Amino acid sequence: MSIRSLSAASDEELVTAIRQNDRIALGELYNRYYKKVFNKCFSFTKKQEEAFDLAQESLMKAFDNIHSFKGESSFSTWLYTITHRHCLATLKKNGRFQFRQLEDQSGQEDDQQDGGLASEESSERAEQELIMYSLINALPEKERSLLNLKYLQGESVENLQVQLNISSSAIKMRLKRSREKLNMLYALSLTYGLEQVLGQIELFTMG
Amino acid sequence: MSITKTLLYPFSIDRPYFESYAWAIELAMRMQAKLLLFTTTGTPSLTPSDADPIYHSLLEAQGYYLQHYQQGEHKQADIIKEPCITPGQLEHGLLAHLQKNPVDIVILDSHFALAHAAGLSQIVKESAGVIVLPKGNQSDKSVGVADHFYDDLRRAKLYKLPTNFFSTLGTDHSAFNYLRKFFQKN
Repeated sequence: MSIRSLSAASDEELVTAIRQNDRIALGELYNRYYKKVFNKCFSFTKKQEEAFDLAQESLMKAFDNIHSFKGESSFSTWLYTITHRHCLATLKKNGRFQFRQLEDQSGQEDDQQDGGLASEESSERAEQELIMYSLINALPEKERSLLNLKYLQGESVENLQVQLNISSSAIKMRLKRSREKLNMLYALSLTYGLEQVLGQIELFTMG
Repeated sequence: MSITKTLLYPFSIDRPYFESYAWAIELAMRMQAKLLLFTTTGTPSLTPSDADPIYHSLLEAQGYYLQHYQQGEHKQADIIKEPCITPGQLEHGLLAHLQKNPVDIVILDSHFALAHAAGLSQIVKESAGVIVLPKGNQSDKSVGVADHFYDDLRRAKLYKLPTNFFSTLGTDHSAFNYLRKFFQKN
């Protein structure tokens, strides 16, 4: 592929060229994404050095295995899925991320340690976890803190009652509203993209 | 029990450094050593906005390495690379770091050695070994990564290198191939 046509080439065309051992195409594709991958990792860790480690590992993983990219999704989705999974797997390994799925279980959800840990093998689940995790982090402090206590730290409603000094029904109501808001934000993220929703989170979380 | 060697590679994002970065990675892989990527921000304190361009630049350098150097048998993932970013000026920061954290070998590129000629003897004094890479280490990469690596090593200035440095490289099979070609040329 000529240098002139490189910048005009689609990601998928570059992948094809890389498979034919075109190293310049590899450089072009890498340069399109390394900053975005770093920023994705930073959105998880909030620490630059950790984000750097995760970004370089994710990029190496992706580019070392580029032959396994089947083109079933866009290259960027494939790359970000690898990045998400790697970030989640690393954070879980370090005990910093134990997200339990937010599910309504016939009204008894608040008393249960619901949902299992996501399988590292499932990219769909990893994607969902990433979105939920990012959305929770973007919520107003009160809601974020309540959801974190309940779903990340596994606090019971009884404990929350004591900690927050409010009634059990008030806690359940707040949790219900927060879950509904999260579900709405999740649906919007799937429709418009996570970054779009995060960029206008205040608009969505007013009221 | 094997003891992992530590290499330190100082760099500045204000000057081209991707070639010498790639050489440092090649050496770390051959020695199975840990590689510290040392730089300073040039500012009195370290803020995230100072560090951001450095991390971006290191990722770009990694892309350069992937594009120009990485071959099938060796992978960067096999070595530990650790950025070390501190506030202040590069030469002072490097000397202070070496005094507190001794390393086995410091790898300097020619830009660094020229820009900090006065401090070079001090850096050598504070290090167990120093390699100063040749000026314009832009060997023809079509000759192969191993040849490129050994060409630069042959033209580099070596200070106080521990004797086991060469025995470590002696286990590198590509060294033999390089030497054979070198003697054939002459």
